[in-house]
Amino acid sequence: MSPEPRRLHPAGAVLETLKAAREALLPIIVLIVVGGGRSSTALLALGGLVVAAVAGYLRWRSTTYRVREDDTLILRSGFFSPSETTVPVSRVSSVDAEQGPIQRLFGVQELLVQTAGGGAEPEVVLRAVAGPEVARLREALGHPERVAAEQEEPAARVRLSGGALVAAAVTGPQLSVLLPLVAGLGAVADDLLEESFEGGLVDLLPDTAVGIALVAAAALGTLLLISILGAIVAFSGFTVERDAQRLRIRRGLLQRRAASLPLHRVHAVRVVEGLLRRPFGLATLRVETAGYRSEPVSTRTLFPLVRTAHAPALIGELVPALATDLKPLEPPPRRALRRYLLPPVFLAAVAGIVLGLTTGTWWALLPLVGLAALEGLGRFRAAGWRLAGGSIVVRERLIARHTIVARAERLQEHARSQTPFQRRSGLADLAVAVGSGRRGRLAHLEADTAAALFDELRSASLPAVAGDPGGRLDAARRVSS
Amino acid sequence: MTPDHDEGSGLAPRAPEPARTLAPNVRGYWVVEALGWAVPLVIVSLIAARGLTEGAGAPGALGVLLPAVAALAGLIAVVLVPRLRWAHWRYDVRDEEVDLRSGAFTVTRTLIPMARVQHVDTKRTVVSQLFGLAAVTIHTAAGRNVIPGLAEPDAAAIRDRIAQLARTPDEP
Repeated sequence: MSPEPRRLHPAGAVLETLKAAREALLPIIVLIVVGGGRSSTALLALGGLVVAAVAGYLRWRSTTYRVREDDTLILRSGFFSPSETTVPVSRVSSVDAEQGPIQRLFGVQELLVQTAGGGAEPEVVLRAVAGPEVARLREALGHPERVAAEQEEPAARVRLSGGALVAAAVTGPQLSVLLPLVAGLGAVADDLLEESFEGGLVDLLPDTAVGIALVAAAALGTLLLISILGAIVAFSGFTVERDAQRLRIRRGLLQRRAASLPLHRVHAVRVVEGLLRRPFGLATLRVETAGYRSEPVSTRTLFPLVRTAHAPALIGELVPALATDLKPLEPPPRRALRRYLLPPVFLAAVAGIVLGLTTGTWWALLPLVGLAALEGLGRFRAAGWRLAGGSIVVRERLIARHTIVARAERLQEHARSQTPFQRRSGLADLAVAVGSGRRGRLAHLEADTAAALFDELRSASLPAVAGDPGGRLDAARRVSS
Repeated sequence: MTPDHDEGSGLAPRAPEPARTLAPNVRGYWVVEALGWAVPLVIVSLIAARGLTEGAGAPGALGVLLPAVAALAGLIAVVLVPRLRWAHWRYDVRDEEVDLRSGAFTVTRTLIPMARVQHVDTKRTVVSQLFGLAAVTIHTAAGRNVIPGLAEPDAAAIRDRIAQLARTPDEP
């Protein structure tokens, strides 16, 4: 790649102009409102546009990038206050290409360059890069894309079917977020109704309970529809491809997003069985990665919807290093059940009593405690682990059921802890941490099992002292059962 | 209970328990740290109790109870906690792992494989410098672990040793 500084595709000027216009929109509106004049309004808007166009052009003109001979990406930008960003190519952890509506219009792509230590924002964003230049730049940054993909068929390709897309949208987590929202809406409607009796608004609102219910139902329906449509737009055309080194995830209806994820960065896969999905035996697959752009949850989706029974096969296909069975899991001992039930029930009881004391809604106490007991029971029944062939599987429940699958030798740390109460009854907790920072927690295991698992995970991370994997665990299991 | 096993017996060897203790004067440092919030707490509770009983007409018992509870909590934090904490803190830095154990009541044991360590740093505060103490923080891709209260030369040596051992090229 030539070391001369290069400008972005001219579409970049259009993009910058639109951005500048968007930024100038609010001041212009304020001016129009304050001014109030009619003929000056159009003039003002026109003037704003011209200013935005000039600003956009200048920004485009002053933005250059190049990859120097010493393998450093250099981005200069800013007309009035120039800045320079330097990124060593060896530090580049990912190069993502995205295409918004404007980019698609011009047939260019937006390149996002991210380094391992990076925060939420990509270090370098090139807003408009033409096709051939994208390939050249990716090559120079050590993350070639299409070249490899077109030469060899991907080793695996999985597409989300239309039916699965709809099912994913309908059973999405949005619903559990929306329900309390709707409840809040109901309360607001209640207040509104009371006020309307005094303020004469009563004619505008349906004045019966049926009317209010209708309004609430309409609001609920609208919100639901929006969330379902949102999920469909986000996950439409979801495709995952894998070759020898990386995963490529493409999705999106209006804005096609393509993310490329090196396989060695995948520290763990998580099978999430949401409240609405578990009854149907459905789950979402998530990837746990280190040093990768932290983005909305949707981009950490490996696959939006899969039958839980097929999850191990799909994981094996997409992340072969994590191929393992998710069953059978070793559960905590039966006497741990009490300890699983107590914390949520206690919390719910306190919440119920506070609610009763403050608002007098004592009837809520019993259902709250009942729900909490159900959650506690669910947590007990979900809890389990498995260590086989160097893969560790940890399942726990926090409303949704999460199953973490990781390689034992790649865990960042593991910890065992024991409270005085646990000591008395011979129980202990065990936690493992994967590279993304996510932890899998196993509460109230048999203390001997926890100790054996602790040592087993240690020897998995230290090849030098590895014994026969699983030997001590089996021994501990025999003793405890 | 399973007996202890060594290599070759077919079972994973038991991790040796960590043996090194924190610097003895870290107790003094923790006492000063605890005083830093316990004294203001007691003062605030005295003022609040006065305000509640005289100003708001709360029962007189509250005027005694509130400062008493605050004083008791402060006393425990200043007198008891530093000793217990010190007595139960153990660590070891082995070639292949960092081993931490702490907690008087809830005992937590953490193992960090050396190959997973991303970087290490030492931290000193104004007060800790008076005691000649520093804390070593070990960062991994999943988060960090802190060994508090080491003598400054020890902390520097441990930091350098971990940095040296962790340098073996290995992706995160």
